[in-house]
Amino acid sequence: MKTFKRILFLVSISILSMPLIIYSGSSPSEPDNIGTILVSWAQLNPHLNLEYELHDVQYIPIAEPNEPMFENNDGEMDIYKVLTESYGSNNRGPSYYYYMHGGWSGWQCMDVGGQNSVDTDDASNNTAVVESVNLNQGQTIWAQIMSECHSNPNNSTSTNGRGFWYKWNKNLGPNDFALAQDTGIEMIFGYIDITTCTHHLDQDYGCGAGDAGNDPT
Amino acid sequence: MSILILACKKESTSPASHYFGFENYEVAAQNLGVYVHVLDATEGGIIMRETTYGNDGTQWDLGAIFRNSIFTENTNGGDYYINDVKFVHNGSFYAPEGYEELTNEEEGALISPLYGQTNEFKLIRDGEKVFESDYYIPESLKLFGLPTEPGAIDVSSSGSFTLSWNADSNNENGVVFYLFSNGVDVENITVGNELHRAIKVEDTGTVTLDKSFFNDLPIGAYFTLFAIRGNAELSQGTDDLSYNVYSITEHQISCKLVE
Repeated sequence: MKTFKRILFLVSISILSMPLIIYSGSSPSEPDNIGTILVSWAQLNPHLNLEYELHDVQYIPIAEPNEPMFENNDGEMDIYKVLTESYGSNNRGPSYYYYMHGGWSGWQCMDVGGQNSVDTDDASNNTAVVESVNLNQGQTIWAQIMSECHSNPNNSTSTNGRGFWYKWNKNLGPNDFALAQDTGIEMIFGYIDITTCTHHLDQDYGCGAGDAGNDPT
Repeated sequence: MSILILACKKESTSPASHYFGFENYEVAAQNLGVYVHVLDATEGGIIMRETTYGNDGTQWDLGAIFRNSIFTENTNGGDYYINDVKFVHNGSFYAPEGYEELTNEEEGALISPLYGQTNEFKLIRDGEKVFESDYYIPESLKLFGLPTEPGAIDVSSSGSFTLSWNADSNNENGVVFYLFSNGVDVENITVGNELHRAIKVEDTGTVTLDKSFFNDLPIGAYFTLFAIRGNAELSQGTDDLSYNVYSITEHQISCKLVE
């Protein structure tokens, strides 16, 4: 919780001071080269049985992000659809995925209310833009798709909730980033885990100031 | 949910993040050998990478770059070759001759036979050889005995963690095990520090990572463990530019630290 509050504080200062790191050794000394890379949602390996795993006694319909309802006309995952169309419901009503990606220099978050980091030049809505990447430095680029974390829809009280999520990451060097300027990077998400949450059950989960983990009190 | 988009810088931006967790490039080179060349920026080069995700399949990356100086835009620098396969610049990027763009399966079909043998990489410009690298690419690395159920693998904080893979007795570069955590706590919705840690071991087919390898991770933390094998070589071209050819095979697994 405290860390998340600090995150909000950092929103205002994050872009003001980019780090200055210089190569040493046999690696060439070059100044920072802050740029962007395009990452496409190429594939997601689902759990396939979440409906039964999330709740022991009740079948809860869940649409994982690779399911047809989230596809664009080319059969690819459509980021807008994944983030704005409900994947299921919980004790707060319809529930939505949210998404984060980033690298050493920072990260971005997208949810149902805003998808500014989707590549608007790509009509398929399948590509996101990782911003503020220092292309001169090796680093691990990561991305994750997360569900909300709430009780089942028939439980009106805020007891323990359950959520689930998917992740991709790759360690890349400066030449990888140079290649990515031509070809982009394809991400293959994998199912990671079901998580249990005991906090924030009265809030939506997402990126905004009013979302879970961001209660100023 | 709100419409706010967060764009945040990490609370801690240690330079070690760039060197597999080592304090600088030199220390990383001492510990990791040829694998540090992935961190080298050069004017030209060839990139081969095979990435296996847990039990979820394999992704191949195959490409080449050339720019007249580092960090300028890519352009046509001649024709690259991997053995007899010619890579030509199509005006946008390098692709094998006859291909406009490679699918993952096509890249796999080209790359897979190159593992476990010595290969020749070169750049020909205006009929002249600019550089050539010849080296052995170790066999494709696959971890054995992974759990079949989906999701992160539990790693005990109080014991060691053993992994097995297909050894390659011809590989002189060892195998690197690299731990990465992005610091995101998905249960409490917090973002902490990244953690990077790497160790190189002999390519014997088994390693036992001591519990100290997972120090600094809180209980419940999720992380990725990469098993990396390959080869790499830096060359100076006849044009006085630098060329970096690396050929990586890696198998990554998602893990969770438990009591």
